[in-house]
Amino acid sequence: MYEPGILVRKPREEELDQLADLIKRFYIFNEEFDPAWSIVADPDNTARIVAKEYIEGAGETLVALIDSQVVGYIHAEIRENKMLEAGKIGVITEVYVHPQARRRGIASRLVEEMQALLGEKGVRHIAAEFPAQNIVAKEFYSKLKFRPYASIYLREV
Amino acid sequence: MPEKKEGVDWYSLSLTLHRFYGGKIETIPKVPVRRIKDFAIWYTPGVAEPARRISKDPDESFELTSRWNTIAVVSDGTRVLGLGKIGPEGAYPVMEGKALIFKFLGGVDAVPLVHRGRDPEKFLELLELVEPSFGGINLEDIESPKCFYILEEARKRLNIPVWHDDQQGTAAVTLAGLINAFHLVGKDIRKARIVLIGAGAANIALYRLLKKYGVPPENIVVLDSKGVLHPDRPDIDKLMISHPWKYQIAIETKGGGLPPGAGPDKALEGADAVVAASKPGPGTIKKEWIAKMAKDAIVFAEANPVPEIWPWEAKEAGARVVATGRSDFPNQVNNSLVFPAVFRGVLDVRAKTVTDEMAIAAAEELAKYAREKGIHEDYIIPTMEEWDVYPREAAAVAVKAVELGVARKTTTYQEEYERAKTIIATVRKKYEMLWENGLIPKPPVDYE
Repeated sequence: MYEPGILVRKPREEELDQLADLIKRFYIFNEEFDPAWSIVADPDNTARIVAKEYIEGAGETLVALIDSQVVGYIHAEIRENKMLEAGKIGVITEVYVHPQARRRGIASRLVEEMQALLGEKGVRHIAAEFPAQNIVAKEFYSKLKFRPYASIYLREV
Repeated sequence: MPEKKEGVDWYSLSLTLHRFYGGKIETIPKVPVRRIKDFAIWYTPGVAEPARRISKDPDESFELTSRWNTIAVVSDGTRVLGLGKIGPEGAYPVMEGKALIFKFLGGVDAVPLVHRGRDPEKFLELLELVEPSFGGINLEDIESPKCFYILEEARKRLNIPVWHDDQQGTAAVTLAGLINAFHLVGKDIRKARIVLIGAGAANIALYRLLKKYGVPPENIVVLDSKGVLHPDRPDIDKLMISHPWKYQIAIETKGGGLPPGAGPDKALEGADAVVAASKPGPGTIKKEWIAKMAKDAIVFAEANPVPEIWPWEAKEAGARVVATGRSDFPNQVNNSLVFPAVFRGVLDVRAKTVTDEMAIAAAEELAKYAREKGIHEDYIIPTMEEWDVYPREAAAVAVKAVELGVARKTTTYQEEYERAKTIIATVRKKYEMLWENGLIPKPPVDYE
């Protein structure tokens, strides 16, 4: 189902720069959908800080590699609601594949691998969060059999 | 600025004659009306029986009414010729002109249908609502990128052929020219490097046809006004939303291996062919760029009224085969060589759609026709005068529709060739009779 030669695993320290670049690209892409998604003035530095946190284990992160190059990543966090039977939910907050590596099913593969990883941690549902106007994300998750589950409404304080 | 040829002011002449004739087409009955009583056959009470029959089986409308030979030429007037957004009424004379060509060259009854549905969903709704009246839809002069969405969606939603001539028509005739140009220079088109300058309706459709024809996407480079469509373009993710068709080309071609930000000069280095469908020249394409192309370069400069580079300039720079959109130069890449025949073919087999494979079948037949006549540098595509090419293309398209399982009726090449030839010849004969009998008044002003 997936192309051979694509490796998916947790990111390593030496991949910080490459991961930071993908994180920055993810936020630049999503920026246009809603003013509340506007990115900080120094996206390069901040993306490096975030990448470092991800590598050190903040949330769950996986990277996809082709020929030892990081070409995509996925990040998720586990949220728990004690009142719900569902309990822990794994929420995918970021996915990005480098344009050079697209149309090979890498994003789908990242979601599958993330689901497996979260499953091992007792998660029975996975969700995805993205700007309401991002039709590409909407189509992507619909194709992977995700359904609308919660809505987030926003206003300025 | 008026385009004058041999001293003729076509603009002024056209205006005078449009006013004189009050438009260009009319409806003429084709059944005998010998006496008033005949209307009992053609109208009530007799007509109730065909009406009942069609109500039970709507496909009978293709056999019992003129639907089988009637298409709509539909435009919202958002990108008319080189005139831009001139509105539906402004588009009307253009659509009517198209209808005239449809009848004259393809024997197809075409109805201009200009409307105010600029919103793509409204446009599509209109097509769905009027579908029962027509055997096909020819979309025309719609702005990009809306035209791509409308064509894609209309093809999914309608059960009759939908064709956007600015996309498939131009792309098919260009493909025919390219096939023969590569034949002439003795290169394999499927191994060649092809550069497309301009990423509008024509070239985006040409990319699709070339890919389907077997040219590997990485061998193709497509440029828009910002440079090569490349996965590393800064606006690549934005294109994913705003122009998915350009986005797809960038991802699939990988920018043809060029560095991101490369312009046409870099893209043409070592290229075997260039197809420019961009902005009028001269000087849009520079001689120095052509000089850097591979040996026996093929140059198609399709902008009107002035090609991106003059043919003699391209030749001086080393091009071997040059084509333009103009009738006063050799090798005119002209949609009119394709659309009347494609519709003749699809209508005759009551096709449910018209696919890119069918457009390629038309292109191949067009190319084959020219090869049989003997191609050379100044003759790679037939001209509109060679009217036997139309029934041949129609036959190729009809047979392809049957082969693909999208035809409501079956046919063979020979059968469709004969049928198309008869239909087109009959139209010409009727037309000649009207003219010779003075029923079409002589124009009060004329050109030499």
